Amino acid sequence: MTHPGELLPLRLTALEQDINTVRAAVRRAKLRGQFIEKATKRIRECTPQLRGLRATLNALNDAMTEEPRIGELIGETSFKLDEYLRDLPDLTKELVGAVQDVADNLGRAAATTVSIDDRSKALEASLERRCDELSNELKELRTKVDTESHEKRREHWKTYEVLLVKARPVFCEYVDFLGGLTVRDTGLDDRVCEMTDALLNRFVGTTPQKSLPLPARQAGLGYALDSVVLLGFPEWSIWGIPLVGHEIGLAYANDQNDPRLVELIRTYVAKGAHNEEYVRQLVADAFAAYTLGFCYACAALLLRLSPRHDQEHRYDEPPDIDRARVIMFTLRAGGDTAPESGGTYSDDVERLGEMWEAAVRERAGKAMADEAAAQAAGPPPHQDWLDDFVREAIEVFRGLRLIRPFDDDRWAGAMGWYEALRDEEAGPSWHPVDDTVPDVLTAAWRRRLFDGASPEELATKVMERWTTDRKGVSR
Amino acid sequence: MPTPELADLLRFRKDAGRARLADLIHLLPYVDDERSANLRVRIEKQDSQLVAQADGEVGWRELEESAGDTGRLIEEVLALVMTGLLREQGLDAGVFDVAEALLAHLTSLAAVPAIALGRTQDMESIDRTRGTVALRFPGARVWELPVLCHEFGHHVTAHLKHIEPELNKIRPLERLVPAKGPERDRRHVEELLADAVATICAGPTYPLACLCLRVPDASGANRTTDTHPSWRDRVALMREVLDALSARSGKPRYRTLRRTQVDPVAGALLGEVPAADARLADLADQAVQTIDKHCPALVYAGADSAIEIEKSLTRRSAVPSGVMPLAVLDGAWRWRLKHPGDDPNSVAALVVAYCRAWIPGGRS
Repeated sequence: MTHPGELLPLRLTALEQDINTVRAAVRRAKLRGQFIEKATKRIRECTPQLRGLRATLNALNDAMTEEPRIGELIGETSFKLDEYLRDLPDLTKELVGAVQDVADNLGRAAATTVSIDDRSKALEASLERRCDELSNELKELRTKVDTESHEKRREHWKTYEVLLVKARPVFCEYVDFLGGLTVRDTGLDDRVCEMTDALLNRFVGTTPQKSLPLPARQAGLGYALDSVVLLGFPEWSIWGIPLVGHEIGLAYANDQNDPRLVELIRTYVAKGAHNEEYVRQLVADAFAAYTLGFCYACAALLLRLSPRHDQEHRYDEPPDIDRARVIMFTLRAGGDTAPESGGTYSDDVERLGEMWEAAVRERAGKAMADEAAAQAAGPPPHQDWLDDFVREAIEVFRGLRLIRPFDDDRWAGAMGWYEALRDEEAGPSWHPVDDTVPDVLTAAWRRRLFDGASPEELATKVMERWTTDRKGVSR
Repeated sequence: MPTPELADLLRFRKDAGRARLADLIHLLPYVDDERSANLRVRIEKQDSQLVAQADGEVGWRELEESAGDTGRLIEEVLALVMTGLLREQGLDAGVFDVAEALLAHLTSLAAVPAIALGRTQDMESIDRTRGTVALRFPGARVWELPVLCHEFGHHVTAHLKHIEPELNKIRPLERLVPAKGPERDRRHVEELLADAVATICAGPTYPLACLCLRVPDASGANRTTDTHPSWRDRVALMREVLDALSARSGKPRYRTLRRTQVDPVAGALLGEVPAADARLADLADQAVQTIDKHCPALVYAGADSAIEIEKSLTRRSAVPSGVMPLAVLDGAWRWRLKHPGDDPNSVAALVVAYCRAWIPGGRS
């Protein structure tokens, strides 16, 4: 038996949808090039009609130039001049319609094709850099193999194996890059990356390059391709879009251009048994929650993070329950850059927190539920470093104009979109789109969580609005 | 000169008493029409009783009794007249209008008899016999208005009907007051219930206004009297009511505001946040359940509007339309707690204007 607001049924539903998506892979693969195929088919269909029209027009043209011929043509019942003249307007109209269909399909094909022109130089440069590193190491190894004695072969093999391990991520990224681009070009990602692309405008300036979102097997930042953000399946849906905030936050933390952030990370590395990578992951969560608010929290807690309280401690990666705690601290931090507490926003944040705590308890089982909940809640404030960390991280974010918080205006925008989705009415403007996307995603999550809206139907409706309502909005 | 007899002296006294009543009649034009008619009847009845009083020893006794009745009648009329004059001259800066509209709104929501607004130079109070609530003046400001909800709480306790029409003789809130037991305990529960109702109607604004304007410091907060429990217990109950509202409604906002606004102020004033014992927790829970069942419209739900009001006050924006007074007062207190060093008078007039915009036929 399930309870409303339970996390596990939500995750099972998401998993079921993901399996169904995978199951339909071949069918969807056939949709590749569908628009071009439709355009081609339409051209084939109307070719005989075009030929017929040409013949008719030729005959009429001949008749126009030879006067006696007109009389013959009118007299000739087999020529059916009156029929041709009567049918001509309709035939022309049909052909014009067919040409329009072709144009539309070609237009759709073009629209889904993602251009990387504005990013190609940066992509090439970063790929070149990584490949150069590998090539140089390869050259060194080859020189050694060519010049050193056979007795050192074992060492050479080991060096080769290490090199292979270094190259593996670059090779995987090659496949992911081309594969991801193809998935985007064919629209097989349901244009989720397109919406993610618009959202990424929100982070322009936070990282040196504007990121290129591509669907991939696992979420993460590009390794060989600096400005690529990989959207991991199964989060290729509107529900997972906010997770890109974490990757951008990670890029921002890794960039090390902000001295205050660098200092913050160093300070908190010193506070525990963990390294910089560990703290950067938490910065990324705080960043994403600060900039994308409730929708990031929903995506992270309800789709990605594990409610296990007993994850093995890792030096370089925080446990998911601590990541969840950072996210919730950020949402509850208050202040001028956050939506005001004590109203609907507070209700939603607390309900989300309750769902998470219930999941932690259930996952732990009855015997360990209280202990698990206590771990998830963290130590008392005077012993806890995460609350101080979040407070200081937010202060760093607040000091930068380029980092845009999910504030009262965004919450008000989200409420407007929530009503529009609920009442199936026209929504507020999509402009500016990088503010509107988090508003819409927040509204969608609210509908899903608190109104029991079907995630598939809602996702379809949101993408329909994304496709059809944004006329005149520059991308 | 003849020596007057005792009966003559009695007649002189009666004439004096009748003169007082005659003067009261002259003051009635300064009282609103609805009250005025009722008061005239009572004054004339008092006068008739004076005239009909016996002579002799019985007459002197009756005169003494009626003097007491006349005195109370005079107090009531003067309070109403003073209120009317203060409002007419604008000496109340519009606060009385808002107070009256607030009470009218609450009594309408609860479907209980209307209560009139008077003034007092003491603390706010309610005259349950006459159905009047006195607002303290001088000193009446918008910040005090949430405290009126406590007096409304007394009124509702006495008059709230059962939701089922066939059971409408039952007063579900009154049933929470023990019928037996020491008088002191009974009166304490009445006060706590009034606090509970006020918190239910006004949300965290009520405990915040009490803590900021009424509750004494830590040592004073522990004092109890024959009529009132300690402020420590009262604040503890208000906290429990907010949590009970969240539990009942499924909306965490009340508990969130208790934690983020009420508790810090309570802790700052009292040294520690007062915790409710089982008795107070139970009373809080019962009060919330009773109101939610019999008059859910009374439960405060204006937090989102209050958030907008706080922003409008910060920007000194023009009057927003259609925001209920309790949400305006909530927003006003949010503003005040965020700007403790600012001059409150700088927004007080704006708060009155926002409230007045809601009053039917009111002007900003």
